[in-house]
Amino acid sequence: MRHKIPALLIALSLGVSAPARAQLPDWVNQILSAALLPVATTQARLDGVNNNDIRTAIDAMNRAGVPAGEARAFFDDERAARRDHGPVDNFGAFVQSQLEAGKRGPELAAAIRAEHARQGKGNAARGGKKIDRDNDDADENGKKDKKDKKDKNEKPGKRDDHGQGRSASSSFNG
Amino acid sequence: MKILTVGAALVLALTACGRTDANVDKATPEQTAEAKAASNLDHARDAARVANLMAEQPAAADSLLTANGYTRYSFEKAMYEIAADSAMAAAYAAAKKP
Repeated sequence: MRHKIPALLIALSLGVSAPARAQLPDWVNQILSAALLPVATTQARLDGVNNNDIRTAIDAMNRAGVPAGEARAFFDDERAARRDHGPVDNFGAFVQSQLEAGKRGPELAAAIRAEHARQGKGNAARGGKKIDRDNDDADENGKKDKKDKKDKNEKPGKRDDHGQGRSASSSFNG
Repeated sequence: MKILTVGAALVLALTACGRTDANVDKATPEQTAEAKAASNLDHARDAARVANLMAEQPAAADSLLTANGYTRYSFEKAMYEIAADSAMAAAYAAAKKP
């Protein structure tokens, strides 16, 4: 009997605490997910996603009233698609166009994945290595050396995004 | 005579006030930009602190938001604002507990 009481108390405490967490209102779960949006965009930048593209996508999602938690999931999907298929040009503009077409949630994620599969500059053959082709945040993310190496190997005609991204980023970061 | 004296004193006082304002306005654009950037980073770190508190005590999320000057809506907007800015997002990510 002496052993039964502590066991009963433990069972009771587990029984009370588990449903309490599960019964959190939806808005709490949503706001906890929303709180990870800046982390997701930081990770995307570290993966080499163009800062201008991130801003364009973020602005478009904000204007379209997409919940921040959903935007966070979207960036996680984008990173996965980028790893699998490589980066795509004008990612931000593509997201904007899809949002304007009314796509949201899983439909938007599927469109992004399909775009990466169709236009991705790279694939599994690259072993999912990071590609900093157009990462204008390279300096602040400590990837300058990597970017410099990349620039040396890059053909002159492929540098269109650099100038644009860099100037916008410098004004953006003050 | 007294009126002249009081008038002169008033003019002197107003001039002094004007000079003080002029000195305040002398902050260079660079200083203003730096102060704004620092303020933005503080804002991002503070938002991360609130997010950490909510993650630790999700049942108290509503009161935590209110106590820190947020509504659900304004917190979501803050997340968008911070996420869009690379420096703010990095500061937030560094302060946010996993």
